[in-house]
Parts: sequence; structure tokens; C-alpha cells
Amino acid sequence: MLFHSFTFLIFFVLVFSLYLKLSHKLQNRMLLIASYIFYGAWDWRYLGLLFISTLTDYLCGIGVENSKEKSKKNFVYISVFINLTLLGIFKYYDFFAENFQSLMKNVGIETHPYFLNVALPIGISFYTFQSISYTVDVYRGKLKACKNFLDFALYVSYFPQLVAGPIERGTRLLPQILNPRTISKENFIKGLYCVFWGLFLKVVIADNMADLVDPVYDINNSAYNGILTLVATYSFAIQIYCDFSGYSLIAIGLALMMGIKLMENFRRPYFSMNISDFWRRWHISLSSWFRDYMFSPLYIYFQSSNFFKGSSIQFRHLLIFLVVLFLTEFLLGLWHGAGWNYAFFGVYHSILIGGYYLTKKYWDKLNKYFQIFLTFNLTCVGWLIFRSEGLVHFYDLFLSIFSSWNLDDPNNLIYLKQFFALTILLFFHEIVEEKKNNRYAILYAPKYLQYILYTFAIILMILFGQFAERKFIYFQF
Amino acid sequence: MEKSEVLKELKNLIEGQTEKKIKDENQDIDIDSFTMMLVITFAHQKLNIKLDMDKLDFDQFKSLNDLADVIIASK
Repeated sequence: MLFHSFTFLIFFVLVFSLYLKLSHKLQNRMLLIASYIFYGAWDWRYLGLLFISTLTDYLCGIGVENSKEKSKKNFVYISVFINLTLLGIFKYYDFFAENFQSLMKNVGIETHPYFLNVALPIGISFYTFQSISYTVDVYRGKLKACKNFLDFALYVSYFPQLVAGPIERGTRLLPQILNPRTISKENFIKGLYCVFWGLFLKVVIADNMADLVDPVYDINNSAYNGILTLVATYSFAIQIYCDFSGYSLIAIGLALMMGIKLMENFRRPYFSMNISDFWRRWHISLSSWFRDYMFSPLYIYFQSSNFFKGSSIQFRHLLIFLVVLFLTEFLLGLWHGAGWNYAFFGVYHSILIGGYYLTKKYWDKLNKYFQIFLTFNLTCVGWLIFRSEGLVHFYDLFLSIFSSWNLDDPNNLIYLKQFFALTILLFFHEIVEEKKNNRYAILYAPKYLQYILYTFAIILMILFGQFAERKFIYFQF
Repeated sequence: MEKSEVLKELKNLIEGQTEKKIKDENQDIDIDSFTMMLVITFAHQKLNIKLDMDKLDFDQFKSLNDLADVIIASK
């Protein structure tokens, strides 16, 4: 059930109508049923996985609270083990089996591993992480274990953010589930605005940018044209941003209409001044998850060990930081998909972040707009890696930008026109938000200006919008 | 070590790392992961104070004062 489909519109109208009439407890039960219907509409066979993850962390949370100090950590291990096993089997098993077979073949050993050949259960990378964070936070004393299983099940499966985030935290979302919500006119309008703008980003900008990207990045396309590769790469940077942030905005908007505040997931990342700033603006829920549950604990672990113990504070800190950064970014890259291009994407970003901190005193002195320009282009190289069908494909595409320029290709002008038109639409909105540092900046503009903008956006959606044709990119993760 | 001394050491440490002057202990100094980890290493090596994840909420740390408070609380 895609957010930008007619089916979802009917679904949400029904859910919201019921929501308005029900008491708090019944709202939660109805939302839980609706969330399972929403998830089951993708593939009912994977409801069991959602249930296993939910049950695991519900029991582990209670286990942490009721155990003696020495045994508490065991429940964290159980939660991590079960959730990562689900993720490992359904997302990574075939990838590792294929690589094992390939590795063995290279040393002359024929193997025939069993391949599962299962489709990736949608949202599994998101809800398993959300579930793990709950148990860890109970262990860390940041929140009390939820005693009501049905309320906890809603925390894990809440449909606006179930299949592609934002990856919420128990400290933020659970209290909003456990306590009555207020449906206010202000939140309803803000929510509707988020849904509207999210839809626009997806159906007008992202899906039309995809028309520029797909033919160039097609693995069967061997006629490389440097200009088209460059435009397609910039287009993909905008496509993936509008696609993913569009989804997040719709999720945030739907929840806000119900009086629930989800966390911000994007904060105009292409205005970042450096790559560290980029990761504090891009997929914030994922980067902060890795920071809190992997990077920081690993850093503290190494820091408490004898690893280069006698060195100066600055040197030891830098060394541990770079090592842990590499490991974390490698796994963050791999989280996106079972492919070496995703892992390399992560490693590339670890090099960028490390490189930034090593050259910080020079980088920070550059002109502000040049910093933004450089950061955007370095990020685009990362997107080229990300979007490629493999490392060889990336290498060929990357080289073509510097060597295979075909100025006579009639597609050049068509691509450029479409690229600039869509980019200007996005840029206008982004720059207003960035200057005001407020996602709802346009809501405070004069009414007549808002009506002009909304009318213009609606016309564009009618003329150019691609409804229910393309899935959201992050569904594949 | 008193809080005022911790604040002074933190100020020197972070100014040295960021090359930006910190005028006020309550000023928002935009603490990123790199700075936060440096503070953790400093607390452990210089003050023999172990900061653990139970007390660290990165989104709440904005100023020198916030950092000093968490270090003092972990003594």
C-alpha cells in the first residue's frame, strides 16, 4: 500500500475517521489492527517476523527490569541476537552464501550452498533496529519497560513509520502511545502540509528525476556519455533525497494529524558545510541510531582498553575515532543492502569524515558556499557508488565523467532542461526553509502567496505526478 | 577536581580542537561526535572518570556546562 496510492488514501480516511471517534485505549487497538493490515497488504507471510521481533523485545524489556544487575545484559544480547538473526537470514544470507561460493571457487573448491531466494521483508531493517533500541534503552535506564504487550506492539508496528522510518526511540514514541493524544487544528494543518509537500517531492520531483537516472545507470547501457552520467548522478542525488525525505515527511505528517510527533529525519542535507554536518542532516534517525548504539559504545570500549594507552589524549582519541568510524560506517553502508557497493559507500563516507577531521582547520576556513559546493559534490560521488550495480559498474561510470563526453547527443538538452526545472522547484522550497531554519516556514508566509504556491504545486502534480507507479527507494532496504 | 577547573580544562580542550573561541559556558557550541568522544577520552585519561552510555544523551549536550555536569555526575 504505497502512500501515494488511492488505496492508501481510502485506508487512511477510514483509520482517521475512526481515530477521531474512539477513546485513547481503543485508538491504540484500532491503530495496531490498522498497522498489521497495512503491513500485511505488502505480504501477509512476513507478519510473523514483525510479531517475533515485537514479542522478543517486549519480553526482553521486562526481563531487563526484573533481573538482577548481573543478568540484565543477557536480555540485551537476546534482543540483539534474535533481531539480527532475522535480519541476517532474510536480508544477508544469500549475499554471504554467494560470496562464500565465489571465494571457494577462486581457491579451486566447488561448493553448492543452499540459497533461500526469499524477497526482502519490507521494513525489516527499520523495525528490528527500532525494537533493539527499546531494549537497550530499558537496560540503560532511559525508560521503563512497557507492561502492556498491545501498546508495545503498536510502538513497533505504527504504520506511518513502519516500513521506512523514521527509526523511532522508545523514549520518544512510547510515551505518546501510552498517554492520550491531543488532536489540534495547528497539528492537523502542519500534518497536512507535511503530507502535501512529501507527496510533491515524491511524485513530481523524485519520480521524474528517476526517468533521467534509470537509463544512464542501466547495467546494459554501455554507451557512456560523461555529460549524461554527471547529470544523472546529480539527478540521483535529488531523486533519493526527495524520495526518502518525501516518505519521511508523509509519515511525520500522518502521525502529526493524529497528535503524534515523529522525529525529524532530514534537515536540508545538501546545505551541509562538511561531511560530518551532512550526517547530522541526512537520515538522522539512522545515523543517530548508529552513533548511540554502535559508535559510542565501541569507542568507549576501546577507550577503556589498553589500546595505545600511553599516548597523548589527542592522538589516542583520533586513532580510536578513525578505527571505530571505519567499522561503523562499513556496517551503516551494509545496512542499506546486501551488496559490496553499499559497503564501499559506507567505507567511502568513513574516509570523507576522517579526512574532514584531519583537515578541519583548513576546510573550516574556506568560503561557506564553496564548502557547501564541495560537500555536495563529494556526496554525489558517494551516490554514484550507491546507485551503481557493483564496483566495476561504478568504476566505468566514474571514469566516463572525465573522458567520454559526447556533446552531439540530442538527449543532452532534454536531460538538462528537465534536470534544471525539477532542481529549481526543490531549491526554492529548500532555501526558504534553510534561511528561516523552519520546516513550516511557508505556512507563515502571506495567505495569498501560500494559495499561489499550493495551486501551482497541485497543477504540477496533476500534469507531471507519477502516482503509485514507483515504490519508495528505501523500501528495498 | 572542582567544576570550575573541569570547565577550564574542557574549554582549552575544545578550543584547541575546533580553533574557535568559546565566550560563555552556556553557549551552544554545536558538539559533534568527534568532540564528544574527545571529551570522553579526556575525562578518562586526565580525570580518571569513566563516562558510560547510561548517562550520555548526545542530543542534550549543547554547552560546556552540560559537558561539565555529566563529568561531575560520573565522579
